[in-house]
Amino acid sequence: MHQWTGSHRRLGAIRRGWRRLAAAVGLLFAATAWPAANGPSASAPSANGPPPNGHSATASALSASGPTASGSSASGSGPADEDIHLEISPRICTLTGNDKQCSIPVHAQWRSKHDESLCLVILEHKEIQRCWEHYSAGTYTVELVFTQDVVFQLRDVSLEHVLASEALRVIREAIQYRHRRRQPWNIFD
Amino acid sequence: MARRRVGAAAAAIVCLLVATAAFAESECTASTDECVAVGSWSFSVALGAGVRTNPIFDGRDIPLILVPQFSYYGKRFFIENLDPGVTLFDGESNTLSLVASPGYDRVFFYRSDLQNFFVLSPASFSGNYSGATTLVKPPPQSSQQAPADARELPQPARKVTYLAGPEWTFKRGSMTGQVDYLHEITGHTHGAELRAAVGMPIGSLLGGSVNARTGLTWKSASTVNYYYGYPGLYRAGWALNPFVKLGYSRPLSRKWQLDAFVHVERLGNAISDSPIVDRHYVTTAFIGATYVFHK
Repeated sequence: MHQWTGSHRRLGAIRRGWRRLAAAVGLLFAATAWPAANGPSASAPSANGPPPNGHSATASALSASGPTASGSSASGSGPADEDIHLEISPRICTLTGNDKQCSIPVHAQWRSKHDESLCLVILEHKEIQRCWEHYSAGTYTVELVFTQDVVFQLRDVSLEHVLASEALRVIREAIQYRHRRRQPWNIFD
Repeated sequence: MARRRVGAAAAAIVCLLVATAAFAESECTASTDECVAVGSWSFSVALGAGVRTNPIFDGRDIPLILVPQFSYYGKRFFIENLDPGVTLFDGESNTLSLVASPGYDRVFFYRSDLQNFFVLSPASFSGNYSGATTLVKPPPQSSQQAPADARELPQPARKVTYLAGPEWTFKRGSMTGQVDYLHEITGHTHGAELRAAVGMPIGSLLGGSVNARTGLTWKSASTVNYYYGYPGLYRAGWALNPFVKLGYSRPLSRKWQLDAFVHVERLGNAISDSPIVDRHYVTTAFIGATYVFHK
């Protein structure tokens, strides 16, 4: 049988005191955080507007749909690379027959649990660069002409750290050749 | 007996080829004059002026105006105009196929023959040349006799025939060769043909290339008799037709090229001796521009 003792009663009082203190700190924190959660960073810019940080895509062939921001998350926690997700479509270009190069529109889309400031770069096309500042999602469409794999990367604004990466693969259909038939009795053989 | 010997020779060639086939593979690595991509097809039309002489007595020559050419090459199956085939082996210098090919001689009797469809001319669809009858030339006369008139006799039917059999093509340096042993499979002539030819480029001229070919066609007696015999009047034996051909081709642009050739074939005695045949030679000549629609 369990019995309450004097030391038990003292320990319970201490625990109750700590809980009250934690509740007070929590209320204070919530009161200060409330305005920030509804601030300007949550507003989505125009989908066709200029990039927020003033960078512009320089390739003349660009047909960018423009960056879009979707929602926001509580700021304060540090960004983690694995929180940023990059997708490209299509992911494979197949060269068939006499095709010499891929010439297709490529759609890139990224999203993050947090607001980010980052740039989308294409390694084989350094002239193409699209940046976002304090956004949690973005889309970008570009007409590309390429013969080799193309790597899309999301980097921080200093362009030094890679946050996410995806490759657009080029697959060449294996072409087999065989001898053409010679027919001397034919008109032109 | 002759047919048995030819069959044995063809079988020996096939055995020799199969025995050496395992040691070499196709040298084709790109589309060239000699090689073609598997799965590709081509279609072109030559427009120009030409003629194929008709050796049949009182037969009209065949004008060549529009010459369409079609081909498709799969991994094994192929079709080249009217000749379908299956390639059994495609090696570095030897290729073995089973092919089917229409009987050639019918073109002289029927303007509507499929092979004349591939050399379109204004009268391609006008039926046979001399209606339901055929003219038979008069027998040779001595100088004392008065010349006899040609006789008009009923025209025996000559059906569309197809021959099929093995084909061996080979390459030795710049020379290419071909041997076909074909047997009639449509049940009309019950005959056989052996076709053999070699060819090579012989030089360039005015930005184009000149090539030469020579060869022969052996036709069995039943084949020759079906076309050139006449019941109760003439029974033909086998015939050997040698030929030479000189061709010239010059690219004009990506889609156009200039083509010209002269092909002369000497008819074997069993054919030229026929009372319905008037000439010893068949000459085919053409010059024109070829437009390549797809290659």
